[in-house]
Amino acid sequence: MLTYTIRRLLIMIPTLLVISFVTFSIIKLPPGDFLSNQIAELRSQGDKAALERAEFMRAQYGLDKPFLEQYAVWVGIWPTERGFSGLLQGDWGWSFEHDLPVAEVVGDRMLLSFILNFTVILFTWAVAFPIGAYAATHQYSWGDYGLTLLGYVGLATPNFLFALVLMYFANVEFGLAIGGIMDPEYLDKPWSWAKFGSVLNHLWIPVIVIGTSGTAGMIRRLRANLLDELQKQYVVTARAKGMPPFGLLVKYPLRMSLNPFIADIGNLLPSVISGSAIVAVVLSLQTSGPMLLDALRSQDQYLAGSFLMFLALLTVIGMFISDLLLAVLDPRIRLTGGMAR
Amino acid sequence: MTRSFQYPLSCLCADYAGSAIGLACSLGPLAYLQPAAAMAWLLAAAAALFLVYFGRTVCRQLTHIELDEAGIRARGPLGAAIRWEHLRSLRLDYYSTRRDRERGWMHLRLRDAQRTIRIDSEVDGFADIARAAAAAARRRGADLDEATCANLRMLGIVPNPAQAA
Repeated sequence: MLTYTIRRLLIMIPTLLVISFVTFSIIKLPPGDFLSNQIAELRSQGDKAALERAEFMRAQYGLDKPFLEQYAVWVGIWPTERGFSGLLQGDWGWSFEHDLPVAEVVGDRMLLSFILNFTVILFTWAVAFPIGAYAATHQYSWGDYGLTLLGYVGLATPNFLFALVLMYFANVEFGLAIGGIMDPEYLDKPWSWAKFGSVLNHLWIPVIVIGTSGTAGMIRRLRANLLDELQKQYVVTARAKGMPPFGLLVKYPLRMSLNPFIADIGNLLPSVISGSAIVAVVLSLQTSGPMLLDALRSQDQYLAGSFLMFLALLTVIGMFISDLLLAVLDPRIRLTGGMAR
Repeated sequence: MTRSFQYPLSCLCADYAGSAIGLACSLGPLAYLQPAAAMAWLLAAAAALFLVYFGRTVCRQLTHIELDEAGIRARGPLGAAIRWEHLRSLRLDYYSTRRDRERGWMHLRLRDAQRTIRIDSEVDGFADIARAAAAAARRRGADLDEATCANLRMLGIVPNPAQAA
């Protein structure tokens, strides 16, 4: 296992370097930058003081430096006049649009995103597991057909459309405004029990909207995996030996059918932070998804770049964790090939 | 007749190179780039792991695996000996860092009441060692898990002839 862990870690090093380079390149790809757009605007307005300030910031943040130097400074492997100051040193840079350090801009929204998306994951698993297990153990029953139909409807309905429909009905039928992730009076206020309660009150709508398609997908996958396992010989043998059906289901086939979900942890971690950006825009949620979209649109390079890099880091760490768990759970060779050295 | 096996130099060189790259990538930033506290802890943990890996590679270079009818011995810094009649468990795992699970390696773990011998498939004559261990486990009636059976079959070893028949 040590060899496996080390080799996986060794793969992570170049992966993260390549991702950071690609992220920075993509952010820099469009011509100009946030400040050059600002400078052009100020020049057209003839605002000389602001123009000088923008030029000063351009020099201060090294936007007039060569591309590779900007990249190295951003990562934190090249010194500036103030010493090393990049991602490695915990300095995410400056958001030009918000005129604040990136860490401050991201802070509260990251927490809200985490609460929302973590609840979505819990909701998805809590609903999908019993339904998927029921559908597999009662294959071709009325319950199975009904749940399968519901699953297809959930899969086929785009989340943003579901959000719009729900908003319309809540407004027209019940007179409820369900947008936002908390009551407006708590926005930009420090955390309190009242604010937390308000978040919980608003949470259920986005959780249902975002969680529906994921739940439907997971029900389908769990049903298919479990059906495969239930047809294997060891299940037949255990049944023949008189093992109780529920005990048998939980102890062996259900555990084996979880492998694809463990493999999915890599995608789960970044989605906890950034998932559901479009739904967040539709429902006016103050999470990090809309902020990332705005940052990309306005070429706020440090905000967008640092945030994308953070997501990439979470993906790589998630993949690492899921690979380790899979290696522990199922250290089997592929029977279709794959010879050991 | 006693047969002796060793880890080949090519695989040891790859492991030394891996641990050197890992140590350079973790200790380098730690020493010169003044990382943030959280990042520093992360790099220190990685450095410690690579250091253990380096130490284990040195141990491997100094280790000889000896196999005969009586048992198996690992002679070296972390040496151990297991007699076949005392073999309690055999576990054969397969690991691969690739998405398609190809080009991986196997890890054999043999245990008696007190000692454990761990051998990777890079060692010369790994299939012979696994065959001898599987035969001993069969004689002792040791339980082999499903993954071990599948991996033994991939090496051309039938874990339980009664099942094969």
